[in-house]
Amino acid sequence: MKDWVILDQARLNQRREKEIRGVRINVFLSPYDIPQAIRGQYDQQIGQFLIEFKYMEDEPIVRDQKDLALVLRIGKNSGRLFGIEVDVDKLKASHVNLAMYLQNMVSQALHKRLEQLPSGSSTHRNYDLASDIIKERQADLFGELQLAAT
Amino acid sequence: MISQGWRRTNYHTIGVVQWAAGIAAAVMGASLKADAAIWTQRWEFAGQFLKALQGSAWYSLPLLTCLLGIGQVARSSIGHPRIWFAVKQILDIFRDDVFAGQAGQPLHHHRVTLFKHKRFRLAWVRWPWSGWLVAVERSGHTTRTRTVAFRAPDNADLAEGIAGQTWATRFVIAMSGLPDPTSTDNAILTDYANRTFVPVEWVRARHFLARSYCGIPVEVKGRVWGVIVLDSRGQDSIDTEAVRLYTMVGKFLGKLLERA
Repeated sequence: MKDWVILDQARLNQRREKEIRGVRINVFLSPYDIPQAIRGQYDQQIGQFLIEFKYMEDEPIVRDQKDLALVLRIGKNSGRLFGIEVDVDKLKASHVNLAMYLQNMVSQALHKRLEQLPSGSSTHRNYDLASDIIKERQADLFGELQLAAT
Repeated sequence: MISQGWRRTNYHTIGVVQWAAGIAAAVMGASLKADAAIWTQRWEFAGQFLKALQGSAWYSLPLLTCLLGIGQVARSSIGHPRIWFAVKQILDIFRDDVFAGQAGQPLHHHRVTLFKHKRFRLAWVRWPWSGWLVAVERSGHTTRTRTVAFRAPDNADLAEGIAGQTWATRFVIAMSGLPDPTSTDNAILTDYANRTFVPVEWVRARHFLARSYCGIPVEVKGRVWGVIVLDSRGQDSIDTEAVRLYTMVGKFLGKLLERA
């Protein structure tokens, strides 16, 4: 099992301005919404690639099947993103540059989910943040998959 | 806010009453199988006692069972004293760390208050069932007797106070540089009330209010359990460090509140 990569929460949680009932206030994301760590691993035995986020508080998870090959792991109560499962075996045959294809697939799935969430909500910000973290760390996350494919 | 002593005494007293009721119910249940005539031949007193037990069992047993249930509800609502003692310690530590720069000033000028969201509040208020954030614990040993609560209804637009807005948005809300709430100028009081999301009458009724606030949502198993509000009489005493410090204490707090 791959190790967790610790994230810099202070850097991720920047002050933002928000207007509530005509009052401009400073807001930060709740510490519960900011991932503390991330890891990506490819399990060759079951042909599954998994990106996981670790938060301050655990909760039961529900699986949201986005398409045949991709499942989002979502917090049952908070709705925040806990993980992304991709069934690599289903994609291997039809895609040569698997890592690149997977990056796009994950990015699109998160984008779609973001569109469904109310803009400016804390859950929306959580997905936004998760999406940014994946983009920032894509070399680490998808690197193993690249090697496995070659 | 419930004092530690009151909580400990009542929690344990109710526990003793529950044990007594449980034992009495068990004895009473067992007595129904006993033959009173045989016992009367051996010891007359025991026989009479057995008859009395058997005669009253039809109402005593249901009453004792109800007493056990009510006791359990009461103990749950009071909360385990050790858990709440630990919660208080965490709030004190959090206060000391966040307001480390305000050393030497009175404790109640810089406080940390834990609010729990309750659907119903037993109080003489207009909307007791609308949803409230009720202060359940606070750092320090002073300013604990007054009941503090803010409306936090399902219609989140009506949420009051920094606590209510934190609960409604699930964001950390920081508000500093507030005007002087001790002023007699109506415009200043109205500005203070608007910026802290409370009615101006509420501000007028209180003479010593904070000049900066920070609300942090408190979650248990992914659900918003309540909020923590830091308040300070200093205009700029709460910085972003509070959020980082909360990540350290919040995990322990969540685990304790799961059992509270």
